[in-house]
Amino acid sequence: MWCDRTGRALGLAAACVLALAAPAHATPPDVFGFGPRTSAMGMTGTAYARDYEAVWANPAGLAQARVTGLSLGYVGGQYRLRLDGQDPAAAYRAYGIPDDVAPGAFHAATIGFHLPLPFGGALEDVFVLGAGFYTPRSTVLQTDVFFAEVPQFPVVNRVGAVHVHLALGIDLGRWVPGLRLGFGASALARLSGTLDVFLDEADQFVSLTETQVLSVFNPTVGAQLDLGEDWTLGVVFRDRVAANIDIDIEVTNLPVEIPRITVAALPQYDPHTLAAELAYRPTRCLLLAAHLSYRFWSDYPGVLSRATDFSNQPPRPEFSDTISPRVGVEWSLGAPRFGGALRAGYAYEPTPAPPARSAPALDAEGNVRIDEGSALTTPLRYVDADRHVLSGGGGLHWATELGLDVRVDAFVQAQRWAARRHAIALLDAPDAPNLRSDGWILVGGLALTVEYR
Amino acid sequence: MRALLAALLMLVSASSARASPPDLLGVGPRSTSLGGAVGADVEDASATYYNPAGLARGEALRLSVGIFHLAPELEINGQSSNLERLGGLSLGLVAPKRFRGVNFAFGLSVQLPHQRLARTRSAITDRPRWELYDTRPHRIFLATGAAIRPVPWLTLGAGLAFQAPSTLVLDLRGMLDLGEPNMASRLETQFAGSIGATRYPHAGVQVRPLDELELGLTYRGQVRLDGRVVVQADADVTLGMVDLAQLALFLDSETNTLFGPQQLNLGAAWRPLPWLRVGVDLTWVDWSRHPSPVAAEEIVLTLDPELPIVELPDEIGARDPTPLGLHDTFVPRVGLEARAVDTRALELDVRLGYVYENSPYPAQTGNASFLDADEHTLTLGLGLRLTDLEPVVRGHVAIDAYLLYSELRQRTHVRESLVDDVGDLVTDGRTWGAGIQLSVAFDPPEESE
Amino acid sequence: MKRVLWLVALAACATLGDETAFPGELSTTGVGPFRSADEAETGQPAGRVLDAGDDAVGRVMVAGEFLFAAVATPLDDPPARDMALEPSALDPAQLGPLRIERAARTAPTFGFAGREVVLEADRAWEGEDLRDPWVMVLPDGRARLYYVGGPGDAPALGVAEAAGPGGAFTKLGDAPILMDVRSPTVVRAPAGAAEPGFRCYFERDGTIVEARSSDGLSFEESPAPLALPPDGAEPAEEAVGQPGALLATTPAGREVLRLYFQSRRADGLRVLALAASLDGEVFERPELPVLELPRADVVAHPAPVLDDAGPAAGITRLHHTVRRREGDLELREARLATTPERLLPAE
Repeated sequence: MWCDRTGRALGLAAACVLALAAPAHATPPDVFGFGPRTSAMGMTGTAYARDYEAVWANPAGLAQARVTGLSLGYVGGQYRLRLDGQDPAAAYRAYGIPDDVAPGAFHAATIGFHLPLPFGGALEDVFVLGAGFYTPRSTVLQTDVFFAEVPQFPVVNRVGAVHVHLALGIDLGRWVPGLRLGFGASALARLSGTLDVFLDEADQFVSLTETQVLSVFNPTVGAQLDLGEDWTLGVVFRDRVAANIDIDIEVTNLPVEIPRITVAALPQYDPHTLAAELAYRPTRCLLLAAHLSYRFWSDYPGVLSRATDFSNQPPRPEFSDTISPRVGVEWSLGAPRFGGALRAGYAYEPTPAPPARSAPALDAEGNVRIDEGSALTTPLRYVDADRHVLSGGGGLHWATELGLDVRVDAFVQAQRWAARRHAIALLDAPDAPNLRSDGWILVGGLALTVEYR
Repeated sequence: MRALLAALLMLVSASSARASPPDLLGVGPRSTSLGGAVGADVEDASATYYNPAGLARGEALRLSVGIFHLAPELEINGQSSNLERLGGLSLGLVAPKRFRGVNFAFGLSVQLPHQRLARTRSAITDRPRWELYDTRPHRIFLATGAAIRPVPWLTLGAGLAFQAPSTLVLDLRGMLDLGEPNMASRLETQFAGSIGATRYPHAGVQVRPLDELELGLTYRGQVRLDGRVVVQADADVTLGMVDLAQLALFLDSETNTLFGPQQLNLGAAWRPLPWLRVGVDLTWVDWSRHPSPVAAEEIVLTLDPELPIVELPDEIGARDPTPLGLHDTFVPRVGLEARAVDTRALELDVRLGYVYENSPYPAQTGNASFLDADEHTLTLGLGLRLTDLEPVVRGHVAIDAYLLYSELRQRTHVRESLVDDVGDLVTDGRTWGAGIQLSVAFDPPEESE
Repeated sequence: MKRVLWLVALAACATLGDETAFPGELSTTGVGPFRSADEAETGQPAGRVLDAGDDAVGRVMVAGEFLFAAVATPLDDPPARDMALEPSALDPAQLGPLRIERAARTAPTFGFAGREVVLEADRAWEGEDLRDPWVMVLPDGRARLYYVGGPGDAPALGVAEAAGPGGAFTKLGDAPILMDVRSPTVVRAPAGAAEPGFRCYFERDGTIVEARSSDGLSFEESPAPLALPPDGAEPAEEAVGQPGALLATTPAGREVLRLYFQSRRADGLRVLALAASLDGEVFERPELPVLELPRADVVAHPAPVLDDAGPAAGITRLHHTVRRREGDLELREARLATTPERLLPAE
């Protein structure tokens, strides 16, 4: 009964979060995790995830699955970021940008499945296929890229983008006790195109547009090793995910000559990530996980590129690598036919970004521009701050008489976006105090999973 | 990927296309080699396109991976149209489960072109192009389906397919130097771009009134994709260090990049002999709703103040698309399949298919030049099935392959005007295709009901 | 993993086509828009098809592998130009005798070189000058060279014949075959014409006049000038002239008579225009001129030729002359003009 009430309460909480959702602004699993179980446990899971959630957390975990499962879920949330105590929408209005692009509510659907391949003989219980889909509403790739002086949130407000993860788990336990390997790939869409505008013989403008949607595949490799009965070590490496937009604009035969313009941007970026995790089961009911993620943010090239061959380069973001410690706990209870679990976790997500500031202005070659002996600067308002992620959740499972196992899992996360004083004012106004940012990101989600043998 | 989600949630919402890739390519080697005349008895992953009901016919878990290739050789006035070849990877999954005598199944089918997920480009009225071959097949096809077989003689299924339209809103600002536009201009960009997701439904039913006869009815929904590009530019026009004027450009171009007509397919499969299968399908294709693929454009260019050295055209155009005037078509399909070898360990099927597609496009007598012609398609296929693979595989492994040849009938387009921009056109062409697929089917465990 | 995926993709198909560019412009109606050929295409300076040195070139036209032109050597001390003349017209007073010359194609370019005189004035009615050559090749391969002789105020049409465009031309008869003819063009009547035979179109008083013939040697004038529909240009067209005709067969097998001519605007602008007809009587015109050069250049004497083979098959090339409006005596050059894309080298 207790589990039932808890589940209902969690479901209601998630539904409330979803009800807030309006325009599609979403973030990828790198910000919130993927799947209600691992998200509730502080975005851990590298050592213990064992179903479709493992395609993100660690594909090696898939190899633990012995039954086929299909999961449907929703993730929703609300950004409550504040710039000088105000909603970012106010700042966007001041910059003449439609305020509906400010980070606000978002929601997305998740789908996952895990499918043990029923080979027999030497290959019995060795291969498990899995897939996970994170799909913002009606969007495959949503991107809003602004001039460098406009406040923007390249870390937490990464664009809405469909994330697809496909993975294969391999259980090598028959040959090396306790060892599982996993290989996966994530797929993202990117956009490339050309726009030719010219005057035809009748002095009428003609535009030719050509667009291509291309796919980007990025590998994930992972391993899990059971260290005795109670301990499991998990390691995973996720390749950098960079989905760019690349549009060339050529205007010809016009009275005014316009150089070829390249709109090149990198709206979707996850750095190389190396994660390691130790999971411990002191009792059958308790699971503890300790996790470290190292993200190679220092490679981040920034959102925008220069517009023409001889235009100035945008300022460099100068991000630095981060280490994110996380812990998670799960307490399972219940009988074989009916049971539940409670989960909690914490993650510290340090920001890779230096404060918003006046950054060195660069020329077309990337050298600092000098005017009358002094270096020129240009505003760069990439706004980010450390995050403290507190998460919780629970799940219920019911083994039906039809031979189906039904699971409902839910999670909530409260991400505190720590207060930060930046090195530049919000707007380019004389004597304005430096920008202060703080806020919350609230996330919730639930998933229904059906498993059968 | 969105389709997968939506299929499972039954969020069937058709948005506003031989237009979609499978209409041209076919899906799966067996179905393609039978000319697509499989609506009554398809049961592999290609059922997601031909008839989702077929997913629940069998009880084996099926996985397949294959490759396909299509080479159109089309000509206008004896000159090659130099159309891009198409090739890609196909993946299929059928996952059935039987509960209390009722078979449920889920299916997924993907055709992933090597080059890209999608290619679109605007059409220009006076530039002849093969509208159905130009860029339309060059996009991913992803379809999912779910099906149920409540009684042995009836299966029902529904699914969704997915396509992605794109929108781009681009802001340009900076300084445009008249003297040295390339070297001295400094421009910056910001933009909002999105690749959306559009779903369209597939649904079908298969019935078996007689042991030797099966019938199938399939509905495929309409899909319409519109791509949009908006450019707003605001630049200081300078000469050296001197500000001369303010240039403002606004361009809004909206193009129908893909239209897939709704279709209704009625199919019958008859097995007069244990080793022979004859399939006949007839597809109604609702082409008459096709919108114009010519971009609707709005362009505004202003210079303030006007500069004597820059002569702006008196009239800066906008153009509206003209209707295409397509008509609906009925497409007959015939497929023959014969079992040539049948042993305990090996089975070999030989397949033959034929399709006749009369072109929905009228002769291009006005100023539009969207080319198409009636098409005869002949297919030949082989299916090899290895059935004695236990204990590793309790089921079978199959290799299916096909060859496809389409002949486009020569067509003459006589223009009403002797002085239009293009002139009379004579079109001709053929298409070669081939594909091969490896699949594995795992029979359900014994304890399963 | 990415490499594996790429390998799978590459192994899957090794013969993919290149990504194709936007479909090129395709025009077999000869409406253009034409553009001037460049030096690489003609092998002559500035895209001329013929480098005439210091000589003055009047009308040019191409038949077979030869270019025919009216050429004269300027006088060392010429008198002032007669300003009443059309800006594109030669002033015979400034020139030595005009004769008809021929040059051979400099394969593989579209240029011509190796000038030789094929016809000079030697009949009483011809006076000193022969000009405005037009060569028509008959189905049996014979070539007829129509030309204008006589004084400027009484031009008349004469004809000579050779075994082919490269043969020796012999004048037929001692008398002109039509009187008061400027810039004649002769073509076989299209299949849709009411009367088979030949048509001659020529300029008279700012109009184009048609004459019919069953043998191409004796012509009968139509009573009224050709009724060409207006093209709607601003300012209005006030006169037409210098016709050049082409009988083309469309890809669909229709025979179309295309008549290129100079259109003269009220503001002094000269452009080349087109009218097309299935029967040689009722003509249709496109809205835009087929060739318009900067105002300082006076474009004249259109002479179309149809490529019948190679990548440009079915494409019309439009030879013409250009004269700078300023200056009294400058070189004339015949330029080749055609739509660009079809002539680009195949990739």
